[in-house]
Amino acid sequence: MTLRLPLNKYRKRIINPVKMSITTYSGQETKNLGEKLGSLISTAMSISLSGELGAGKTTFVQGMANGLNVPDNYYITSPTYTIINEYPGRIALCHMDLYRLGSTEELDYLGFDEIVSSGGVVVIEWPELLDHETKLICFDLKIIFETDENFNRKINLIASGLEGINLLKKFSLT
Amino acid sequence: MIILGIESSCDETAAAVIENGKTVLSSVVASQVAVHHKYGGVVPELASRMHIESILPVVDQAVREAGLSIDDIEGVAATKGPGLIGALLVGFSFAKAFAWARGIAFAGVNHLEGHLYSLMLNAFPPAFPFTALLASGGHTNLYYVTSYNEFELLGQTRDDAAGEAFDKVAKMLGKGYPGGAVIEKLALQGDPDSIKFPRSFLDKDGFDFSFSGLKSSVARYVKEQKNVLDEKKTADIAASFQKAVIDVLSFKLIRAALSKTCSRIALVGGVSANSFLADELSNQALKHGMNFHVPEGEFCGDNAAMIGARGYRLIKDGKLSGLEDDVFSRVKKA
Repeated sequence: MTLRLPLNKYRKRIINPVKMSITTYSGQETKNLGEKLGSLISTAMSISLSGELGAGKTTFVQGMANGLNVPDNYYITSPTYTIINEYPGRIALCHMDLYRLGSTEELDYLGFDEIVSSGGVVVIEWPELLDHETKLICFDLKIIFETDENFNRKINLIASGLEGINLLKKFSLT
Repeated sequence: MIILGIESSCDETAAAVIENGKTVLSSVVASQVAVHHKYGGVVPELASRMHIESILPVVDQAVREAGLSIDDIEGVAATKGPGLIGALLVGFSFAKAFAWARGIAFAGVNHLEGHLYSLMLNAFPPAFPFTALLASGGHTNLYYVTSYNEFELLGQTRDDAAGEAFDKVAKMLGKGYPGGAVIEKLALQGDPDSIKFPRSFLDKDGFDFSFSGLKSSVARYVKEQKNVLDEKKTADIAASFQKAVIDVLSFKLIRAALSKTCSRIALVGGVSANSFLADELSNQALKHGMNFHVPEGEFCGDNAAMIGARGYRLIKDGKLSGLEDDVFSRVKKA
């Protein structure tokens, strides 16, 4: 099996990527930051989340779901075992976790092509598999979680592509 | 009535033959743990491919071990969801085809209800009503079960499942898969009171769980050790982490039973294989004058006997599935 990625949409040239870093000091702050970002999203886009176990990735997505108006009766749970969790919202949210996958072949089986081009906000945890094997996907927004010695989170946002850059501009102005 | 049960929702291809929803004539599990270990987790595509390769031999073996022939099977039950779609489709489609070709009844089974029915395979199943905790890699749910067909969901995890927390902490400690068995073994050598990890009870009156904060605490602790962990320290972390999980699970289950003035508690799902948890619940039950039920060891994790047991009840009650029915990945609403 070969992986057919939606190249037109996601393989964009990186023109002057815009970067920004914010430090959060609690899970609630991480969640609030996610909510703020989610509330500013107005179009389909792809976002990757990287960082070690327990860094706050799923917490951030819980905030994003609030910002995207996912109804309260949906719990935003870890997608580690389920691989893909989809939620309705102002814009549909698709939360994926590639942690347990062994190769990009498996993405084909999961219907990855259809998911990333389905017109929703696609958030992917543990995206290293994609970087590692394809080097093809360019996310609109890459978010990298770093934890310092006091376990505060430095959240780095790196936007490339029009949607990502516009979002980050709005984000820095509010 | 002789039922063939089939389970393929995640990492196990399993088939079992059950008589009258209670007597297990055979139960075959093509365990794939050895394959998964290499990747540090369940690999979905691989799992699905394995299901396709395993389904026929596993069913054959189950029928043979039951001392029967295909002609003796009077109904088929297969897991309908929740689970990985590709994996579910293998077992569910096989069961559909089997039932259609043989002209016998077919029932799609909810995997979570199947776990609750693992208790019905005990020599002394719990009477109704009972309060049950289902804890596994993908689920942490509390149910109040009032009859063969009524399962009231009292609470569930808001982030990580209990079994997932075990797997991820095992990974943080540089240990392998499955995390539950690894942590339990390490914990034997450790002091459960040496590190104070948080107990997340959320609001004390509710029955939801949260294990994400505990996972972060362990990550933080490991980081504070500058990632240098000797054997003693590793064992202490495992024991203290395990204690934190068990305290919360046991507190919530007992509370839920008390809130329903229910005198029977049960533990099902892969995490029920953890003997520290089973011991704690057994002690708590004694303290509160409750009866404690746990499935036989081989029916704790995913298996087809529990699916056959649930399928028997569905078929008996006329709740059949048809060729047009489809599998589902997850329960949508919280």
